[in-house]
Amino acid sequence: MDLIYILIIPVLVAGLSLIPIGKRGASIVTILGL
Amino acid sequence: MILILSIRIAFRTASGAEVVALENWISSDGLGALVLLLVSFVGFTAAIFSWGYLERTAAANNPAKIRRYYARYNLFLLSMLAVPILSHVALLWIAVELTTLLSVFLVSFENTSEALEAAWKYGVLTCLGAAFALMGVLILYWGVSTSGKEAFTWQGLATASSSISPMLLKTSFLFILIGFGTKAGLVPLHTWLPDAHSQAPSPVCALLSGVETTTALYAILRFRPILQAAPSIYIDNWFIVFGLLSVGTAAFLLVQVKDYKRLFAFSTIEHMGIILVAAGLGSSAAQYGATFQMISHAVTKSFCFFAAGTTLLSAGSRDIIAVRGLIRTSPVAAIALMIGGLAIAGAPPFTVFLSEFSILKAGIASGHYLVTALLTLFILIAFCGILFPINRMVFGKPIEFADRPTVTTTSIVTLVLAGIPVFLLGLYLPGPLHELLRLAAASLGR
Repeated sequence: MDLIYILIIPVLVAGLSLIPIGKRGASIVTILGL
Repeated sequence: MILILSIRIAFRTASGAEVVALENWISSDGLGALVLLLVSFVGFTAAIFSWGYLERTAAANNPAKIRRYYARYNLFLLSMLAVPILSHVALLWIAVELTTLLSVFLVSFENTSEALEAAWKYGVLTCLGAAFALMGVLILYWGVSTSGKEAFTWQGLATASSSISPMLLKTSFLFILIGFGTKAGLVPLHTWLPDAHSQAPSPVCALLSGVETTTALYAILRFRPILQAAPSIYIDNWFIVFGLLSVGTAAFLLVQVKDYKRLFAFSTIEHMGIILVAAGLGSSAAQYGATFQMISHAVTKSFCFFAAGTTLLSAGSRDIIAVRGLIRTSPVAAIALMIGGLAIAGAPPFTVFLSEFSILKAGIASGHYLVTALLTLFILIAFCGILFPINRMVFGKPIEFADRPTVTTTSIVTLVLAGIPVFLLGLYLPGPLHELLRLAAASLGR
């Protein structure tokens, strides 16, 4: 399942980083996701 | 999270377990797990570097632009993560093509005329390359479909290759070499690379130069065991010729570069050539050296672009001539640049030295004296071409920069994180990583 998660997580993180959640929201979401 | 998953997959692969998510579609072997690990590591460090870097650029006052940057960054990373884990050849082509489409807007992120020109050049030339690669994949598919019922996967192709006409294999290989070779920046298909890799924001450069080219080269190397079924193709000779051409051209171009980000971009062409030559040498020791060089290149080149980004933020210029005496004006950038320069040029005790040395040793051991001599000569020229300008930038007579910002905390954190493997792998190779390299090297042969 790890390989599937590897394909799903970046899509989720890309979507989340588009949401305006503070000045550094996108950076933090991306670092946590990766 | 992705880095942790990749490390887990690498450990499982190194211990001999088979990692399969969907039979014939998504799986990972030694070589795949190695590339996956590299993409995850560079992706993670570049994400940390992006934080501080973007806050110091013109985009800092435009939150929507920063959000778009991160969305594109993650999708670009997705395409690169997909390349090593897709076992279906047609899907691999799609993933490689997506790496271009999803990164072209990152190259043009700074929106200057040079960045836009570089993005256009990058998009057009690599898409042209992708068309060639598609032809190769289609010809190969034709060969497989006429020969039997094997699935169009790496394993299926390796089994079916002996019953495919050598003429079809040869034609498909040439198309694939030109197509993916364009993406990997092999000479003479490299003209887009120095522009794109110097105009993009530094964290993106780290991804483009450190791992995107490696994933394209991974696609070429994957075809080696398949094409070995037809000895008349002389695939190893093709690898050696294209590899030496790339190393030689890059070495001489390095001597006349005026922009330090282009310097590192040309060094990428050199390293792609070295990996290709090593793969073409044929012996298992050389294959091991090729995979080791893939790791060394990815970790060191990304470190170099983080150092270049830190220098750019401190000095405000990409011109080598405009940056002097950095050790006095910005010691952090100077030390990072000096370490990056020494490491990428192949000085001991860094990891590139060890991997290049292992390739040269394997070249001599396998009796390729002329190839090894030429490779050594080009590596030495590149060594001087990289270190002379960096030495002047770091230790020359200082130029005071007007009101430049200090180095960000995230830059320092990234430089430390990215610097650990650059140092460590030159001194000590952990057991599981050695095992992974051995498995990856085995994937390059039949």
